[in-house]
Amino acid sequence: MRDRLRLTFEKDKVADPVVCQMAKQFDVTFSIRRANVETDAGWMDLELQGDDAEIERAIEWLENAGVLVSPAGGDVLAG
Amino acid sequence: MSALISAPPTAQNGGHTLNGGAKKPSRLKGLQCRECGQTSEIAPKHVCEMCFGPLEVQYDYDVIASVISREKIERGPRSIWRYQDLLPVEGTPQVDLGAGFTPLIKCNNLAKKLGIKSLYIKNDTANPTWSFKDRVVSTALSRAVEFGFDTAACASTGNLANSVSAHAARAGMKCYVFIPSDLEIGKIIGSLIYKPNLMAVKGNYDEVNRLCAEVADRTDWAFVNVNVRPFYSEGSKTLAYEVAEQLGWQAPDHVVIPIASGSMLTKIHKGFNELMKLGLIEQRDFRVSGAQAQGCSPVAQAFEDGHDFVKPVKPSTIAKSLAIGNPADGIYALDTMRSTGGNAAMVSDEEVVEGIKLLAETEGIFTETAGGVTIGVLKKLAESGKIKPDETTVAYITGIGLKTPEAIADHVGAPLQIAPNLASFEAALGRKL
Repeated sequence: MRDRLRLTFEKDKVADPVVCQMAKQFDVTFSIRRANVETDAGWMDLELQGDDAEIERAIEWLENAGVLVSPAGGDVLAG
Repeated sequence: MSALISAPPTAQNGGHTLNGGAKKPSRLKGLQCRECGQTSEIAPKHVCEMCFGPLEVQYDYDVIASVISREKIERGPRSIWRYQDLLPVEGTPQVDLGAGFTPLIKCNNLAKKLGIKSLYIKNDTANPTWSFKDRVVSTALSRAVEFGFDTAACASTGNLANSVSAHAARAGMKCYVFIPSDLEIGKIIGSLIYKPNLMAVKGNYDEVNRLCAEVADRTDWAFVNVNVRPFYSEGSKTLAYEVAEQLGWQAPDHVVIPIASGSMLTKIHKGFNELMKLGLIEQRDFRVSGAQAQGCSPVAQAFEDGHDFVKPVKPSTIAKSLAIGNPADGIYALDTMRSTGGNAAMVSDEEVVEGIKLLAETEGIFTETAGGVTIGVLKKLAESGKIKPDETTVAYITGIGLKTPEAIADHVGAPLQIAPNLASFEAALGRKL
């Protein structure tokens, strides 16, 4: 399975190596496609590959680490 | 496939022969990534494989210029399909309930209240399922049929669900619609009546989003705002074409547009620019302003903060049709407002209700909460001098109030109860007849 995600970082998370830590803790690989990280906030579009369950766990870990995780390309839900 | 209710396009009014006859040069060049510029063939996909940027339909404007004219458009059907030369559907539109060509109403009463000289409302409540979504869905599903899809799908907070359900029924397509389980009853019934497979997802908006992204990835359905999004979003350009035509072939000075994903705002801007590029209207500057509810205002907040990115938020507002916390086109809406000298503003839920009432009481138009946001922001911009009094301004009202009566039920008073006799009526009236 692969999942295209946008990670958004608040100011206090910008300098944390969370993506690196995620890849060390879970059996997933990531490929960064676009990013814009500044001193007060940032975002990163990446593709995660791995088993469904492992990706779910990695996403949950990211969220618990204070990263906002959403589908790359914006919400699927529309008005 | 169901019959059309509008006149089918012909070689004279914009059709591009797919079956038989000499093949015309195509108006459609392909898809292009808005971020990295990579191009690809026309296909049902919405993000760039390389950078995940959004894909846009690319047109050959030389070909379009050789076939389009004001007169030809005016001879076309009174629907979005009079502008088919500028839409990404090549053959006869197969999925059509007659969306578009809604009234542009000069609103002197509201203008006077707001201190604006020339104000128009584009009343898109007058569409087949009472919202602007009929424009984008008719475009998306007509293209989806050309791709060979037999199943339509979407994830929606209401209006899109209604529109996809209705258009799929009309076209004889199978239909899967996902909604948050806490949706207003009017919007649920407004889908169920067309007999789609309606899935009410028990979860927050993030969970609904994630589920639907996974479903869209694993099915071969035409998910209108996912894999056929580049074609879907183009339907919103007709909101610009119609306004220009209805104003006597000219762009207004200023447009005020509600923002959910941000797509409609960017496409209205694109629509006016296309007409200028093709010489159908005079080249001129116009300003684009956006409206959001405070409870879901990622784009307006970024505008206010001077940021060049949009930070996702968790929506909490009565304006559910604008409750998109991670807007796909938010950054482009932001760019459009800034580059045109427009503004973005947000209003509280109380101001949304006031906006709904103000439009109804002054102009006789009953809009849903998204329209309340637009009118609330219109008022705010006018009062703060950000809409100049002499600007010809158009505000887009994109959905009807009857779907969400809950939003205003406690704010409109109650009828006077009287007995069925004249005396009781006179008592209520406070005078003798």
